[in-house]
Amino acid sequence: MKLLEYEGKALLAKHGVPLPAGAIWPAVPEAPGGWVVKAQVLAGGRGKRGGIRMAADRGELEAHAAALQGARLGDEPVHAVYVEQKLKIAREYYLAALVDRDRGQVAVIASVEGGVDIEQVAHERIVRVDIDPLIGLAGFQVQQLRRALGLEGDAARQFEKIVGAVVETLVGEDAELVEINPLIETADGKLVAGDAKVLLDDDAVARHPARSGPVAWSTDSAFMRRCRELDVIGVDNRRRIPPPRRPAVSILGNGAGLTMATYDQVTLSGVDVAGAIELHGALARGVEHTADVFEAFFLLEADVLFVNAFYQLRSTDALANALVMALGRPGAPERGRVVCRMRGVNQHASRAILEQAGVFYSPSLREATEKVLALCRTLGGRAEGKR
Amino acid sequence: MSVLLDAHTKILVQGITGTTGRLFAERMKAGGTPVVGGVTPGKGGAEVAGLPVFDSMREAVAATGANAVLSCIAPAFVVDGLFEVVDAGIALAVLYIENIPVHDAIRMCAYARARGTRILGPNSAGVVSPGVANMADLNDANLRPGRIGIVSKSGTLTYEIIEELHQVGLGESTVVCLGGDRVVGTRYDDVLRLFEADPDTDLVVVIGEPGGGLEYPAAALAKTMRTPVVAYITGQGSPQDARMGHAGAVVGDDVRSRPQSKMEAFASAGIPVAPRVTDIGELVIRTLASQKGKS
Repeated sequence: MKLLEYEGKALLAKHGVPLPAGAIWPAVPEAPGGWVVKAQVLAGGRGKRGGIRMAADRGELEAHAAALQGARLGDEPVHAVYVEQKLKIAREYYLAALVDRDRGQVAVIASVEGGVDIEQVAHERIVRVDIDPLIGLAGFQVQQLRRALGLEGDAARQFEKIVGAVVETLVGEDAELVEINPLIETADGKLVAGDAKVLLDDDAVARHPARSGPVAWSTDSAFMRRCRELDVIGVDNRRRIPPPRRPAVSILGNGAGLTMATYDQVTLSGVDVAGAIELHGALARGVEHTADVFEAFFLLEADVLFVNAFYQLRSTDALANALVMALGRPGAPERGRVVCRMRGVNQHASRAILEQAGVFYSPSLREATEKVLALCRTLGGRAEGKR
Repeated sequence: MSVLLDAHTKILVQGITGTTGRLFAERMKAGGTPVVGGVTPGKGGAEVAGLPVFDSMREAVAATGANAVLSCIAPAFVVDGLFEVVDAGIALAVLYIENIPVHDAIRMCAYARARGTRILGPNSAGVVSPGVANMADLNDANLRPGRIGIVSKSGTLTYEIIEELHQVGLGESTVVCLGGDRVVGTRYDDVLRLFEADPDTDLVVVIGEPGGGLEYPAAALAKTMRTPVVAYITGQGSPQDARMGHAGAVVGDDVRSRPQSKMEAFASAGIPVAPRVTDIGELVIRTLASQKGKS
């Protein structure tokens, strides 16, 4: 999960990375030289979209903060307004620690060119060290980074500490990325983190019980919140731009690979997907729980509902029963718009359960996909006919 | 006749007295897979499915000569458990467990690499060679011995590919699941090298997905192989920034990690690419036929 700048900075501060004085509006930090007012959004490039504003006095500060509070930057909601002391900047560097998934190692990347998108920086201006997990960050690697940035004297000592602290933040906080861009060298020779981009590992949440859920969750849809409560993986496309065209399909599958492949079956035929659920072992928690998952699935309000489950060792009749149970609850969609493909031990039982309940069933993915697309064509025709 | 598993394979189930471990042990035993025992600290001397239970890996290896481990232990003990497997000199370990913190996976994979243990996973559905051994969550009844190799991150997607193969009258030599996590112990190209050396594999199906870039070295290697390869990359239509269940299958800003870029890499290496999973059976048949024409 992505953190907002101020959330990321709090983690950096915990591990000893120096920051400019800052506070969440309406709190204001002491700053004799004026302030920087920063919209807290999850996307990059906020400076270009007016999300970073300078304030020389209290009046300007209040005007900027009021304009950004609760606003949107492009498609991105502003979650909070962060006010920082304005610094006299001498130079800007780039520093990041990240998980290189293909190598299965942590890498540290630095550049003399900070404050710009690292993708745009020439290759020879970037230095990278790969950390052997069995050894950790080695002293010679820190020196390699320092030399590449040309830091000497007191700035060098500060930098060495910051590199160690950034790697410690990445590993200690279970992050996949800790990026400081820019790492500011002030006119009076202090190194501080000007910005922070932190990506946390969703799988390590249990290791950090004191952490509250990211602020960004508060803007999630009711569907996404319900999925989280039910411990299944949800995808909600309805607020994307452009939004899914109607008639749209929703997908419920088991396993990431199969769910994505089902998604491909639909979208490659030119039909949009409103959202999806990956069951993520929900079936093991019983029929009632699985019925709740189906009820959450209905929240996507898709025109056609595509259920594709393939089990090896599990019987799918519990899944079929859960669906029928959920279809009997208030707010359920018409049964004729639900298409099921279920495979598993004793799949004939699920076929009987579903067909008796008036739900389409096929053991074949090809056939089920065709049925979904045929329903979409019928609904599309109907929608056009109304116009 | 297969890769990773053969007539010398002897399997231990780590966590054999737990619910998952017991189910696997019973099923492997019933299906004729060479499972020789299990390990649960504190339960040494017990029996599960007629198999001996040991207190430690080293003890179990000394008593049984085991060289492979299917790990089914609780999340809190996985890292230490894997260290013990590696320390006991096991050649192949399947980590079935998912949602392992990525920094734990990094440490596990690094130690295994340094000591010469091959890890499948974390979040791997395992490896199976029909008729040889089944160290996977695949049902023996759904498998058919044959001459097509499969390497995939996803488990559920291999179910679909296997069905595709059966529909066109083919079977599997070995099915290898690398695992859906961001950091995994084995790469596609590692497995392709094994398939290339296997005289009983006629073609390999590579199943890629969004995220990371392990498919690129696979595409480069496939270009040089005598054994033909076909590819399918899933997640072409799904949103690139959403996690669909695999921690690893999230793209973010990196163009290289997109399915379309990976499909292009295979295509420009001369590897046939199936657009949909339901196109694979036919593509395999066509590719095999064109190979016959060449020789």
